[in-house]
Amino acid sequence: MSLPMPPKPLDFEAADKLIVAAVGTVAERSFFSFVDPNSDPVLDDDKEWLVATLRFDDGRISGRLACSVRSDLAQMLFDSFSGRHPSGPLPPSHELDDLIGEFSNMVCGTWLSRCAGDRLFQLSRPVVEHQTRPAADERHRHWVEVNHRPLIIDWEVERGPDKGVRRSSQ
Amino acid sequence: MRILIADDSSMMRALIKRVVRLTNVPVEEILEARDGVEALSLLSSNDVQLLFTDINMPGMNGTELLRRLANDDRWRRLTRVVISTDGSTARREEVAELSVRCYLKKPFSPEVLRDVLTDAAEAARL
Repeated sequence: MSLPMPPKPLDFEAADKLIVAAVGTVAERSFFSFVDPNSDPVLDDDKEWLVATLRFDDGRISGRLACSVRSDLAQMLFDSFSGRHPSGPLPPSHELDDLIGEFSNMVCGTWLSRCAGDRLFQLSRPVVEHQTRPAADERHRHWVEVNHRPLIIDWEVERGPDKGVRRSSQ
Repeated sequence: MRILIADDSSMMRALIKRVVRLTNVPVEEILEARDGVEALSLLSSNDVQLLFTDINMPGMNGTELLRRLANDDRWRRLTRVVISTDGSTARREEVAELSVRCYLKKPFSPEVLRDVLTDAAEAARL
């Protein structure tokens, strides 16, 4: 009887390149939105941010991913997903939080399936916080625009004997 | 036909319900559960023909729910569809032996869900 093949080490550089593509897949397929991956940081406004954070863990590697979504984009994503008319009553905060949590869940699941599809990750339930700024800068950060509004993805591997292939610059 | 949707996201449950209602599949009732424990309870007290279940849920997750269903003869005629963000080969292989008819990866387009529903409804009627 042959033993199952151990999962391959996580290639950090390849994983980092795949994260923006995962955002694009989720935004386009479920939210009918378009992603511009080459966005400049924009923080000079007083809009609120919704920051959804979830953890991933396969027993050997654990880390976290955070999606920081500016409030006007969060509202736009909600309308696209739910079919709500923009002039209708605003959704309750818990529904908006649920939606942004599900968005981050889909991004993380899509990303991990592509960069580590031979691993069985458990994803935690997303925690959504309302902040005046995006999440604190993590190890890997990407700014993108979704429907011309900013969205920030941060991810970080925090633990694991299997630290994978490191970036050449680190 | 009675359908049960098990997903911890109320927005995802609402989306699936909306797509189901847009199809021509005759549905008597759509039940909702937030995790595997609630799903098992509803399955025990209702005559459900089709289950849509997420994998990552708090408490009892979808894999454990499917495992319990596979080990209990009461549910042998229940049609099971997984709808999950986890599209990994490892996860698909894990649930492949648990009588799952279809594995639908989130994000999905409404058209794909409609096709899966139509197929699953056919299976549930057999």
